[in-house]
Amino acid sequence: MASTYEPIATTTLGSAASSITFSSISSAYTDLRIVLTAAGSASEQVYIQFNGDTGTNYSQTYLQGNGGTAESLRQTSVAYIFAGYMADSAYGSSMRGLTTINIFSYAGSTNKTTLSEGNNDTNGQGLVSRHVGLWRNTSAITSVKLYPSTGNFTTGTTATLYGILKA
Amino acid sequence: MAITSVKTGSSFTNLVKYDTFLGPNSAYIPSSFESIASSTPSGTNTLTFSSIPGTYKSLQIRFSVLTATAGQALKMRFNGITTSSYSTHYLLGYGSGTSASGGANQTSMDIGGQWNGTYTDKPMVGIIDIHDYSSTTKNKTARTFSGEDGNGAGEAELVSGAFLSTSAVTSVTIYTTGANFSSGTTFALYGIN
Repeated sequence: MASTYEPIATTTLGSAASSITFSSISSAYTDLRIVLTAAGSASEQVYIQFNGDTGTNYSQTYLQGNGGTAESLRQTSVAYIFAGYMADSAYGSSMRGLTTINIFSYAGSTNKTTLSEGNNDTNGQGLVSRHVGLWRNTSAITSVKLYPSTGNFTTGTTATLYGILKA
Repeated sequence: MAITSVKTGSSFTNLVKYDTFLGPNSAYIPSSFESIASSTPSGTNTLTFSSIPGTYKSLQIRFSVLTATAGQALKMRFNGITTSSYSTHYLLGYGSGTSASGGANQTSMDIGGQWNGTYTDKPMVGIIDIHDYSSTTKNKTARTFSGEDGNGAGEAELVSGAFLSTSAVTSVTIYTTGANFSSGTTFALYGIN
């Protein structure tokens, strides 16, 4: 029987990788939550896709600040959900960004909405962001792919998938 | 009386003696994140979590909302109080700009839908955290991260609110400003220690 807040899977990269995928996700929970501490070899943006869908079935609206400017941006009909920022390893090999992703009613029959937080600070450069994303698909989510917008996740990147179960 | 030996030929062989009632089992450690209640309202514009126990340190409400018509804002009240006992502030991004506002002496607390309001087929979602909800010496503060995206419209919202009362929170009411919740709507209440 699933617990209320349960770790489902976790991985820490022993070498650089272009993506991390959680697959065969049980439908036993209400929401999913992913916590990612990561650095990118060539980028700071974390993208996600569901169920191997690479079509332009995603969109997002987000609020961000980069230390000098606060702004809101939007992407429509794109091939990913932009979940948040991570550290760029160009600013130091030990730097990590923190991205948390909440996926609501992931096993239900409605379109899927996500809330995510991007937190990246590399001592003089960084971004904080809050995102709402949409996957225009009513299928249950059974896999989640995390990947940088370009390049790889660096060694030591850790991703953990949690299931949250309502009463 | 402790069992200290078993005679040969008995049905109990290879008996292992334990010093506790747990035997070989691990002690049960209650979870610090527990599910209290949930609701899937449909055909109504309000729901209430009541008789909330005061045994946790914080409450969290996670929601995914659809409504019968678009343009609905979401509001929250505690303990059935409908008088001017709340204040609220929000910061949101709506894709082409940002907005911030607030209000004192309100009759409810905002939790989402300030800009576009909820869609009929694209859920508005959110996480509400209420810390020290059972305190009888402090006013209560709630924090909400919510949002909706409709592939061309929507907003990401950060909302704070205060319940100007030192009474323990024993009920939470959430409602839309107009249309009813639709099938597929879920609210879940969790207690955190």
